[in-house]
Amino acid sequence: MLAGQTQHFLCPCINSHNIFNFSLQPYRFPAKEYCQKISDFGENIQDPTEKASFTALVTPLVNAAAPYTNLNAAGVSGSERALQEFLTILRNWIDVERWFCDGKAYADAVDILRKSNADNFDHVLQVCRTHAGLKSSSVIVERIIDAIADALRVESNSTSTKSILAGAYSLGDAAPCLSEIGSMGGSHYSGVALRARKLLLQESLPSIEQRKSRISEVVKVLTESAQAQDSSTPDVVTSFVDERIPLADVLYPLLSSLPDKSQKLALAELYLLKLYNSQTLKEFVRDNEDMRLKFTFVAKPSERVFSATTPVTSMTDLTKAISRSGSLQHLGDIDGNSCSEMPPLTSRTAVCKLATTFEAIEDSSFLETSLPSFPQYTGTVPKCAAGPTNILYIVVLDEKVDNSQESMDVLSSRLQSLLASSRQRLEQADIRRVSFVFNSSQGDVTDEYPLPSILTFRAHLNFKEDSLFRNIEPGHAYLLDLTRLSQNFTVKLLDSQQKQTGNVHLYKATPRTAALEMDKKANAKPRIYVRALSFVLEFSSTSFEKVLVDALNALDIAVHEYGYCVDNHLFLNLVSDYERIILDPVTVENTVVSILKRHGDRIAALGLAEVETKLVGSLTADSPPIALRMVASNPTGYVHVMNTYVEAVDPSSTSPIFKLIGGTKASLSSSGDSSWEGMKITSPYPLTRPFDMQRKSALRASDSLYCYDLPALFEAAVEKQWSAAAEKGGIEGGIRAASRPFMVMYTSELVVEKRNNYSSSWTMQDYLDGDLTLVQTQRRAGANDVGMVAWLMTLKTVEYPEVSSI
Amino acid sequence: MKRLSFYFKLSYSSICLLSKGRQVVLISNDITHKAGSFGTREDVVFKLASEYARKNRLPRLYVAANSGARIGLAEGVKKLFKVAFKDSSKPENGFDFLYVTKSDYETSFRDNNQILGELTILDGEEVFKITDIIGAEPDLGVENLKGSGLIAGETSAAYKDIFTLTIVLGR
Repeated sequence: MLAGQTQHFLCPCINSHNIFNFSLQPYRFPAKEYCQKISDFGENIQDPTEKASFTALVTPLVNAAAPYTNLNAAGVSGSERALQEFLTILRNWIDVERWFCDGKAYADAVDILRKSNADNFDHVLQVCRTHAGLKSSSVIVERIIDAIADALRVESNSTSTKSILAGAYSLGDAAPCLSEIGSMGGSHYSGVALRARKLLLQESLPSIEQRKSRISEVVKVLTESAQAQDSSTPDVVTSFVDERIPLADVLYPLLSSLPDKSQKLALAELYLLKLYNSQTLKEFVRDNEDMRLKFTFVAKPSERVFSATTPVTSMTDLTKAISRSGSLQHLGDIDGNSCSEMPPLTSRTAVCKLATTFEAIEDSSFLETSLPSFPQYTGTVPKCAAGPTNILYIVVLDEKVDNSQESMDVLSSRLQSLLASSRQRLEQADIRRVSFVFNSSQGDVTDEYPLPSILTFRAHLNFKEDSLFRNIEPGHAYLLDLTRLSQNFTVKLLDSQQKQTGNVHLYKATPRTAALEMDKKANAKPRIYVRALSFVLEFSSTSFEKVLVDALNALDIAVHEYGYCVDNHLFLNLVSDYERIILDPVTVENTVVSILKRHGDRIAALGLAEVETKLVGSLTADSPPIALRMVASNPTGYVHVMNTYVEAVDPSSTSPIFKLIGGTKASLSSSGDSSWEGMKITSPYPLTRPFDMQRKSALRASDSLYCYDLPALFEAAVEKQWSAAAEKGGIEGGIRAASRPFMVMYTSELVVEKRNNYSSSWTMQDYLDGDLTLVQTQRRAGANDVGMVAWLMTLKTVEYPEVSSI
Repeated sequence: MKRLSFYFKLSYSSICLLSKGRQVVLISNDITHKAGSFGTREDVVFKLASEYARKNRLPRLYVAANSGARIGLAEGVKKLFKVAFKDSSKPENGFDFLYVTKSDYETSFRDNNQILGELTILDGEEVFKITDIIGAEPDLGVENLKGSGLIAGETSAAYKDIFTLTIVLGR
């Protein structure tokens, strides 16, 4: 019957497109329309069983048509499909060659490979055999890279020869693969890696010269509008700021090349516009003679936090809860909030002053001319009750500083004494922090411009340098959540890198003695905390993968250089414009999980114990933004565990806390470390994670797993079974794929308690007296006081997807 | 880790093959609790969980990672006992008996039943010679073996009634 229906509704479609018309016109298969018709029809089926079998029936058809639906007009049809196949080849190739690259000896590589695949020696053999054909496989990979390069060229200017990939919709997806190939070291890989790197340089990052000329143009426009006393920001400037083109590295080269003061000032303005993109800026006052820029800024409607009392058991629930009113509160409503101690909508003033040399700053008149720009200094506006609000930037033009730790420290103390002498005046101007920006000379690396050196001095530290934030653009500093690190660790900056997607900062974190005393068994060795900020506007699997790969590449170098390869941590903060990004939390979670899985081996090899992702966005166009945190780890080495939190506020306390969104994998199976649940969002990172000790001791004592990790293994096994069934393809595979449950397992713990007095402890005698009973409960992992644990697990297997009642 | 993966595959396929049950009872030792040894309380949890599986006709999976029945130590005695060596300069020659000093006996053991023995003279000093240690803690000795008997009986009943599967790890 179904087949008949399908035919019935497809016929008009086929007829209208006259598929049997043998005209000479190149004919394009109307894949998009077909998919649309199928989904329309599917939605109109009322009976759920019929709907499921219809979905199962057409899934292969939809899958086949999907690669043809998104096609650029100029493209080759089917290019998307070809691209996807190519990407699969590249990913497989990377998976194999990762084991052997970076100059590892063959024997060592095989040894590691065998250890990590102890249960699957077939796989080891396969990988080794594949690797044996490296010479020819490299040629194939190079050809694929060439094809991608050609396709990108066609997109930019249409030439007559078309690459097979021309017009493929998701050509950008190739970037993460290319960047991984580009990072492969070792002589056998140099050719391929070079090819990949070149392509990335050509196509993704606008070359430095292009960028410079683009910025110069924008600066010109900005200068003109400033001279015309135009209060509104020109469109060109706004769009430039939104494009997130990196500017910091070319700031100094441009400052020195721009001819006059007004243009230099305009460039500084552009730099600040980018820094303060998440704020509303207004009332620009420019003084070209004195090279001084002043503006006021107000935080945009701030991100909201979710009320901790609203019950949320799944991501879908979250969407519903958000759309109801009343479960959200303004972040700014909460007193004593760590991110902004200031009341919301405080108008703050920032002054940026360009100085030529160091001596010019030390001249006593320097601050005297700058400070009156702050309204509080002259007394026209009262000081903010919650503490100082204003910001002073000093950009030093002609001074080059050596970026080494020692010379920075010397510079820092020099500036500190300078500020100390005028402390009263700074306080009078209600200044919160002073930031100095210097041109830095970074050794002999010439192909890349070094990032400027930045030193920040804060009022609450009595204008001493906040060395934690050295070389970080101060407006971004709070996004890195560094305060969570500094309580338990002594932190030192190892490296900062500017990538196309954002900035990556690497810190060496050494456990503090005080913290070690609290947690005596913790690993006392330093570890690396990677803090990555991404300024990519929309969230997609590609953009997330790019950020992740950039961060991993940066960590790779640091691990090789410093050798800290245990207990490392990666924090990805996907900074976006609050109002604009709309995300579906379910999709976001799935995307993050699948990409972290794809790079799972590499993450493990780099010693990353945890990957934390923060994302702020709105669930719908009219709902206020919320902050999500996804914490991924693989504590057992077998199962990826992901805990998702939303930053929520508990009415009984004043500061926001993490609230676990239930229904995420392994949290119900009582194996997840829902360790952040209820903790303040500013709580410090612990030296060890919960159950690390138990896991290690179980491994040491018996080469086995901690018992509370067992349910997660079962869950993974069932999930694997579902994936395998869905991959079979055909109608059966389609049915499986369509009927796969959201959660494949529910677990409750079986706990022995006294019949009448459940809180008191019991003995064998109570059992003999018949006083004991077995109860089903949900309690946290590791709450047992007996060396035997039991669970009741409900598995939704492929054979029996529906749960029966007990 | 080889054995572990063996377990993993076996249990995985067993789930797929289960004909009636989508629910299963999983029992496991906690190897981090007292070295994964069986005391009587461990035995009770095992017994009740296994009974639950039998009553509800559910498959019973047991992941065994343990160090056998618990051999307990009477901490109170352990702190105070002394050894009467045959030759104290050559402990390898053996000893005559274990003892506690008379004052320790008076303060710690006179009013309870932790040790049995008699007063005797050692090197001209009166000491309490230990013949039996009973201890204050539960689960020190044979009662643990009694518990082992309990779960052995339970396991054989379960073997008859329901599907059971035991995987031994860490041997």
